[in-house]
Amino acid sequence: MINQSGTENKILLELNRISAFYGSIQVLFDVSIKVPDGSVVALLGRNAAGKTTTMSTITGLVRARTGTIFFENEDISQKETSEIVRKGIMMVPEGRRIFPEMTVFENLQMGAFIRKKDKSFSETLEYVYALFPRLAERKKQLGGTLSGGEQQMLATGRGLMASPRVLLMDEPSMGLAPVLVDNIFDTIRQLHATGTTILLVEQNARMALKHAHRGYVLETGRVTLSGTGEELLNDPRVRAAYLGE
Amino acid sequence: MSAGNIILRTEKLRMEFGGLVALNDVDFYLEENSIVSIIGPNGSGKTTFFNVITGVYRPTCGHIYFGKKQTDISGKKPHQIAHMGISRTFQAIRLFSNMTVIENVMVGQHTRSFTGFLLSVLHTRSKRIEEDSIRRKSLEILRMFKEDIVCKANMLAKNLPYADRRRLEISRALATEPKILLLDEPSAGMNPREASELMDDIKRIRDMGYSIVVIEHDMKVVQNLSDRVIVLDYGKKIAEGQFEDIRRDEHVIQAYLGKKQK
Repeated sequence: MINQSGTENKILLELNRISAFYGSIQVLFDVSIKVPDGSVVALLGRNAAGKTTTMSTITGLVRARTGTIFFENEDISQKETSEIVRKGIMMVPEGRRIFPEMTVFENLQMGAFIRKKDKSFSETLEYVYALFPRLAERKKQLGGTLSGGEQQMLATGRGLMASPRVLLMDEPSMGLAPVLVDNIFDTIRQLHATGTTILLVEQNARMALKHAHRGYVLETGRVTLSGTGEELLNDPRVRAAYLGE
Repeated sequence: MSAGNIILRTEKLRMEFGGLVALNDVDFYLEENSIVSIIGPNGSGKTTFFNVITGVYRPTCGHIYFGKKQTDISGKKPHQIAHMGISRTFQAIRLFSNMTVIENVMVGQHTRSFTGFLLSVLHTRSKRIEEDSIRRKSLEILRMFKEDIVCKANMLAKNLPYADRRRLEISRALATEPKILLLDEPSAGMNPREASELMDDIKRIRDMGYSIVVIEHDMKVVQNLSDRVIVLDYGKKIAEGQFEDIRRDEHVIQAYLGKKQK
């Protein structure tokens, strides 16, 4: 699904030589990433390579110490997370960060808190329920009583409820049954078709690269490789390290 | 693999939460020295099955038989079951993150240690001897994985790389000296290479004489690891057998694998 037109588009999100620290430990070194408007960009790398941290600097959860992050030609690197979310950048966190004491429906409502409750709210809700019928089945159940995989679906659904300009997805396929992994990537394709820009972190590198226009490989906090999804899929270094060949 | 003795067996195991039937009369068996994988859609009851076996939940109905004597352990407390020899890991890794690697394993030996509160407070000779032996045993367990993790024994658990945290969790489970290990999605969040290294570890553990039940979604892992596979859907066992047969089963394809896997 390489969309050639994607290469022509303007850059919507640009990380420019970002560095970040946890205490005195540096975890990102001069990370530069360009995300064109309407594209799907994959971020690959081993565990602890800095993928999630990169996403967290975009949403302002981790402050970049040096470097800039431009979103629609505005530097957002020093902005508050709440402000960044309002600008249309939404993160689907890895794993089970849902509200356990709220119902499935309330969790989804929370995802839409930045938008007015209009007709499009129920349309998006329908869309999320169609995507994950299990969430519709369990909409009155408390989030905390869902199984691990169902919580993963809920986190993704909640992110979609904001209808964001940019969706940051941190391992959306983790813990999901094979049939649902297919669903997740179908969703990514659909979102892309409707113009949403997606930055994706995945251990399932093969699927991610198949769907991505561009990919970046992070190793111990540095970008060591980048290219189109297809280039990376065929790169022997990527094949050996991330595709299990 | 040995068509050997059955070490764990469930009979019409049933778990209801209010109106929800999470486990619907599941019959299951595990042979000694073998690996059984449990697969199934999200929310089909896989983790609940582990929770019932380890005593976190008391089953609504049915029985769980464990060991050579086929002791009925249904309704026993988690610590009693751990003491009898069933240990587990969790979907989202649960370690004592601010304790060192070796301390995390030592905690696992708790079920097998004797020094009580008073002797510990008094720091008696017997306490020191026991602690030394626990420390030694814990290092041996870590060594089963790779030398690398032994070097990190004094690091804080939270600073280990992700894949090694998973190994540490398995080490802690092994430290309880179990006969059966229950592993809940051990390869989750790992890339293909890390997953395949972990698979080798798990097979080696089986070959050392442990019996293992694994919940997994990675079909490569399931194919490589399993002596037998069972499939759950809405709490019901819908298939069981060799991986190759399961893979072709129409019900399994529909409920779990999806068409593209054919």
